Amino acid sequence: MNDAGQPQRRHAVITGASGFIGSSLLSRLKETGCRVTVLGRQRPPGLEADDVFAAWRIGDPVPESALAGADWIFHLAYDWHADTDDPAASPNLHAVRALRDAARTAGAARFVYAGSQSAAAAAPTRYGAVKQAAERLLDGERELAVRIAFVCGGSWRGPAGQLLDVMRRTPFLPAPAGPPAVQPIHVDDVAAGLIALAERGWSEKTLPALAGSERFPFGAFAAALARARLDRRVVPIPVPRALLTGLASILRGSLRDRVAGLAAMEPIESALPPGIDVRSLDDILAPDRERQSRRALIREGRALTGRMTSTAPPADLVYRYARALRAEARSPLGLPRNRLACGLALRWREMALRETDVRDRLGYALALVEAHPESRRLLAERRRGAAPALRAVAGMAADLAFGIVGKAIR
Amino acid sequence: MTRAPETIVVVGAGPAGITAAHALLERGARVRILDAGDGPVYPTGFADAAPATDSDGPGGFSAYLSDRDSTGPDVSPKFATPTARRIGNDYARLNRLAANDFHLFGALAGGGLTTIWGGLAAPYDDDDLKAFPFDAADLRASYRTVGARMGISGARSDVFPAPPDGLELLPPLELHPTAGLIAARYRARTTAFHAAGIRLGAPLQAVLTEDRGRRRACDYRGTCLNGCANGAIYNAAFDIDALREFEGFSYSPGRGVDALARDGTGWRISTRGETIEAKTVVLAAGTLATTRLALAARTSGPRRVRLLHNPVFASGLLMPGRLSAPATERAFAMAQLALNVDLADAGADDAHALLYSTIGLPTSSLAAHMPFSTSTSVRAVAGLREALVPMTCFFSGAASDSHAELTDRGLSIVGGHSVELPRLVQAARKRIVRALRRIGVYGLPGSTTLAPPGADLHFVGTLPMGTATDGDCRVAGTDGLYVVDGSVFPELPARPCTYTIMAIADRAMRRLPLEP
Repeated sequence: MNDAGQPQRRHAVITGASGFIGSSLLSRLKETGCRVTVLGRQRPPGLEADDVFAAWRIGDPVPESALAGADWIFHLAYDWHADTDDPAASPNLHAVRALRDAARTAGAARFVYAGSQSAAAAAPTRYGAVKQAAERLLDGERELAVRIAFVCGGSWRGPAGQLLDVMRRTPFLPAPAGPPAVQPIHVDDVAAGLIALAERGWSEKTLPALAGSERFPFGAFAAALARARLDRRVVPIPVPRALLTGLASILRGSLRDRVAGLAAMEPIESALPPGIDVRSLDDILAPDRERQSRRALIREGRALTGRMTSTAPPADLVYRYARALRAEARSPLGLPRNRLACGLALRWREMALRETDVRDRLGYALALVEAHPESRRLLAERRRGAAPALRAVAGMAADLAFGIVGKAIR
Repeated sequence: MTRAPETIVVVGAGPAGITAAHALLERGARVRILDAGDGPVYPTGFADAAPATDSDGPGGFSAYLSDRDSTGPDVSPKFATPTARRIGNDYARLNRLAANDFHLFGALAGGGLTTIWGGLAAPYDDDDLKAFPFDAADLRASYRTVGARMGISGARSDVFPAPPDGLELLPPLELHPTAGLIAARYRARTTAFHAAGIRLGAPLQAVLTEDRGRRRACDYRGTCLNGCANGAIYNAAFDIDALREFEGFSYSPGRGVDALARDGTGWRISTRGETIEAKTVVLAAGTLATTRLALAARTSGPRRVRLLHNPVFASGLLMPGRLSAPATERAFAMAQLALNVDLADAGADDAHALLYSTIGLPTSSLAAHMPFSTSTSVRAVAGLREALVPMTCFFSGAASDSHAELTDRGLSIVGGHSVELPRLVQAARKRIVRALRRIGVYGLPGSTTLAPPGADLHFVGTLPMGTATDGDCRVAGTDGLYVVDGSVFPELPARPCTYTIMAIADRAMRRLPLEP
């Protein structure tokens, strides 16, 4: 760095630039005007003319020329299939050593290695053991291993993406019992933290750790994720950690590591570079919640206006309802999706629980229907015959019954 | 040198102001009307056969909620119409009115409240006028003049046995089939009804059943609630053009009067926009606005006065015989039938009930009165529409207990009902339901709602004749200050008061001494 004048244009080398954190880091580096060299299996999008792509994978010799003149080296790549039972023999570890040495030769200002929360665990997985060993390798003044907690947001890949995949398929999720250890952090906050560390270094005794400021039990965290991102209810089933460890021992490959990692997950002390603010899980999930709530309001609009005319309501009417409630930041009523259950829930909440909000929204739906010329006609339409009459009488009877029950429980 | 004759200033362009101006101009006076509104408001461009809801829809969710809470379901759905919103929005603020427990509403428009009224033109009889310093015969000429100008349809009936002498009535409006059936069955059992203290008949209405000039006859499109796009229902604003035929007339919209003060031998009138001097001022701004100006202008007398209005309840009736009748597409959407309810044995004045059809009534306003869930109520309304007979029932002003007080900030109104009212509501409803049961019309349990004080809009009696004003509507203790709107009523009968307000304005202005 040229302390006196304008900072020179930085040159950053990244491995794993196509990965979950890597892609966010790459775009952030490009945004801040860095020149980048990507070492990887495929050329990521977004590179400019003076950026360099060099084909490289874990296990390959480091193309030293590519590191020449680099200010920062971010090593993010990790090959899940390359791990061995002896961490010392892991190609992942060799790659750390090789890159470190190349960085030393090139005289890079900073070597930043993306480590893991798992490295802190007492009973390490193969992954954790490699990460732990790597931390020990980076003992130079300009070398930094960063422990990174559970990364969320952005393109939702990595462990978060795998967790979502699992939850798409099952309504139940085995979750390790025990203290809250998930510290979700947004991927963009991780990228910002890595750059801040490269820029300013780290003078504390302990390793820097990029972790959210809140800690969640795994089950609660997973359920919140499922609700916001998948609009699904996933019930966490608490499983003793020992059982999970046992389960891991009979599994193979990366799944084994994932399960063992889960069982061994320990909270880490968040140690953020100064000036870095991380968002809360609420903030991370806000865009998803927003989308869910919009969809739920549309479903609600369809249910409420549809109840007035007993037909599928026209789309413009439904959107008008959803728009109006969204404009005033009203959250959805949370009605069941099943039509029958939804009708029952509405009747129950209006007549037994006497929820004014429900009544107000039904009134609003009715007012919208009345202002909609085609739907208005349906309101006045008399349906002749025994079935509609029976339905109306059944409705009245249900209303009265709900009213009486409601009075009793109130 | 001859001085130009003085210009009499009439404050207000509602039914009273227009009538006063008419009478004065016919006598050769010069008249200037100051209208707080920006001119007449007509429901132009309102689609044929559209119901009386806002065609643009209910707006945002909060806007809908606040609208609903201020306009229903305890008050008439007419307050929710776009026309009512247009004319009513600024009324309280501009006239410096504040209200507690009172449904404050007024019209800022040429034509005043006749912009949204139902056209009921009920002449008072001697019994109604017993507290007034004159009797029906004294008002006859004025009823006739005003009635001829408005155009009144109807016929002699049990409710109005003696329409004003010499007034040629237009043919009555056609009744909705359900109301027609009720009227026919009533005629077959009149004696029993009379014995039960009930008289029933089609009301007299200031609604044209024949074209007259630019106004066209009622075509039963059913959109009356929002104001008549045909001009069939009389609107005082229609007469502003007729007044322009007189040489000495001028009309000034956008001239809300802020204050009125004695200035030498005349009055200084401060309006938005200009200060006007006049020797004679006629207040016809509507009782609430007039009361504020008059109380502030007079030098003696209390600042807190009684305010009369007609407490009113709404109730649903059902005629099961009409359940399977074919849907009626077109009908007049305001009152179909009027009932006089004798409450002497309850120690009260007669009540006056009105029966409606559901034509033009939004489903929501009917559903709001059903004790069911919204969706079931909507279904019930669709099935019952033809057989439903909404009813409103008005009590005399004696059942109201409201006051208006002049404060530094304006007129403060505190509304209330007499302690007797709940008992009267019970008595009247019971009497009506019992009588109608004989002809196959039944009360719907749980459908009765008492409107908040003031929801009837029949605000009168703050400057009663005999004390605050004299029989010729001059404000006591002042010179040249007249009040010709509802303010001068000494009492308020249950029957609709507009026609009589107009007749009194006409009578007073024909008696006002003019400069030679």
